[in-house]
Amino acid sequence: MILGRLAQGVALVLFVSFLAYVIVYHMGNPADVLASPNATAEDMARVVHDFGLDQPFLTQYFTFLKRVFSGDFGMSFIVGEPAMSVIAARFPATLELAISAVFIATIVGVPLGVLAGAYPEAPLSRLAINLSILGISVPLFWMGLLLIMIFAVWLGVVPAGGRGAVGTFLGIRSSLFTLDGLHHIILPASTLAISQTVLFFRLANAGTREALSSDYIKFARTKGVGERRILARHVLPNILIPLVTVGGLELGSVLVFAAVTETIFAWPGMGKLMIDSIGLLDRPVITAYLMLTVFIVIVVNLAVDLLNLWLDPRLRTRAR
Amino acid sequence: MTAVPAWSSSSGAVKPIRAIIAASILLLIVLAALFAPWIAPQNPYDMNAVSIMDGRLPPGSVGDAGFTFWLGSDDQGRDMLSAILYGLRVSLFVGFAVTLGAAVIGSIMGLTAAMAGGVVDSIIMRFVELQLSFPAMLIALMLVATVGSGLDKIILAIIAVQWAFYARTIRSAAQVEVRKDYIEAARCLSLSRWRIMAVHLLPNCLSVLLVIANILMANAIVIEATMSFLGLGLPISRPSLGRLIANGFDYLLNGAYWISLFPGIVLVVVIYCINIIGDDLRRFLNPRGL
Repeated sequence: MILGRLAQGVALVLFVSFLAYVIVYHMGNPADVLASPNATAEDMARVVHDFGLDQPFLTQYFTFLKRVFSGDFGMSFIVGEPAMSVIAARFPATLELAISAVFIATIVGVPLGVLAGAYPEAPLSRLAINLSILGISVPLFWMGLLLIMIFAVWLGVVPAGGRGAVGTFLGIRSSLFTLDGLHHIILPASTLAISQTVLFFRLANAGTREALSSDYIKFARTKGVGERRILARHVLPNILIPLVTVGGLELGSVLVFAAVTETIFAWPGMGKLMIDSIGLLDRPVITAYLMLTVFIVIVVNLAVDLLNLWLDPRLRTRAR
Repeated sequence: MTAVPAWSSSSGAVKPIRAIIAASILLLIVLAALFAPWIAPQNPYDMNAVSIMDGRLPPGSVGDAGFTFWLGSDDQGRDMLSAILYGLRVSLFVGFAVTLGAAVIGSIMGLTAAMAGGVVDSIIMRFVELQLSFPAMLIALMLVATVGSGLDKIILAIIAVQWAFYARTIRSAAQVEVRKDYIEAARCLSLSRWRIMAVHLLPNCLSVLLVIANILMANAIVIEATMSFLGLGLPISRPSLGRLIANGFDYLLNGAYWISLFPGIVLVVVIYCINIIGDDLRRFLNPRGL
């Protein structure tokens, strides 16, 4: 199972690297952006040659692939530094945003989903279920605007954008360790968390309903186990597996939607960098971003498989 | 014989009141968009009708043009109500066109995979899985960044990322049907593959197709809006709802909330109605595997 996953991962890396390269290769002529507006044809030709843009398509691809495996994505056309280090510098900001969002989604979505599943007839549960459909209907970027409008412009309680002060804790630098940083991250993290919260809510809700009608819960009830203990000790562990699986699979889209969130809140993460790079036709940065994203997606998928093996003893015997 | 979808769910009859209300609202919105040239106070594409002197008027004010800007105006002096009605046409058209294109391509691929099995099935499904393991929005962004923006290119890019969802769902539904006796009978009558697929297999996968098409149509409208918001979608000359919202973003911090707020509300109402209908459809049709 793990080997199959690995093979699939390698196929995905190659597929995306080629796709990224083909797509990015056809994306405008970066020489137009690189050379100054009043450059002569000679200057243009030199720029084209310096960056290897005059080589045949496949040659450029294989050069690219060879470099990629040694971790070299070339120099950013815009800042003139290695593309990977440009991205790596922005990565922590995106990571802390994604982690905060998943954290919010988990502590809000899962308990609410379990409760709504346990008491499906309660008016509050019905309201929450209807709200969850509204939640998936609100486009993330507009939700971000709405939150800025309410909390930054009208109420003025939080800043409208930017990353706050960065603190150091146990050698890790993150804005999560300062009050100012937390102040700045709360809006973007909540925005990014919305679709995950709804997803976790719906999964937990459906899982709880299913689990509650099963024999082992009926048996626990017959034994006289309290309602709270049934939910916490018997239902929750059984709904964790789909939650972990879907949560892991959704990580790729969290990263992409982080790009949208970062654009709205002027959050200096790698997603905003990628959107900016598309506008500037900065090919090395875009390809480096794509490869890093696909790598993260694969690693997380593997981690999800391993986590599921640990969570669900039944899978372990089946895997043998 | 084939299983006729029952208009009730396993847990007692569901009354489709919610879906009927949602469908009525959606119908009203679609009609308003269709008849926009006749009901909009202003033609927002006609630069002669738009006066920059009317720029950024708050909702309810009367401008130079002599009519009331019920939803305010944008920075160019365009009436927001008119811009929203015209923007709806673009957003809804993208939704319909993408759904039609992706559903046709995805169904053909899914049905072919289920009918043929073996190597054909493996090749198609490997490709589908590969594509689905990478975020759809990212692929669409890259495609549009490559081929450039424009209505046709946006639609093609979203079709290119959505067909795989249809293919996977239709294939899993068709795989169940293919093993049934009526398909066996049709094969024994040596009907052509296309005929079996179109006349016998497809109608029995229709409930699944309907449900997923609903979800994905809402999704297509959101993808287009998001790309337009990021500036990688449609140009400002013929703005969709997403582009209108993006346009208002620049003025949001100055307090001109209406430019972003109202197009967004209309967008959310459209998506919410589609999702409500989809949610109830799923309960009524109750297809397996969804």
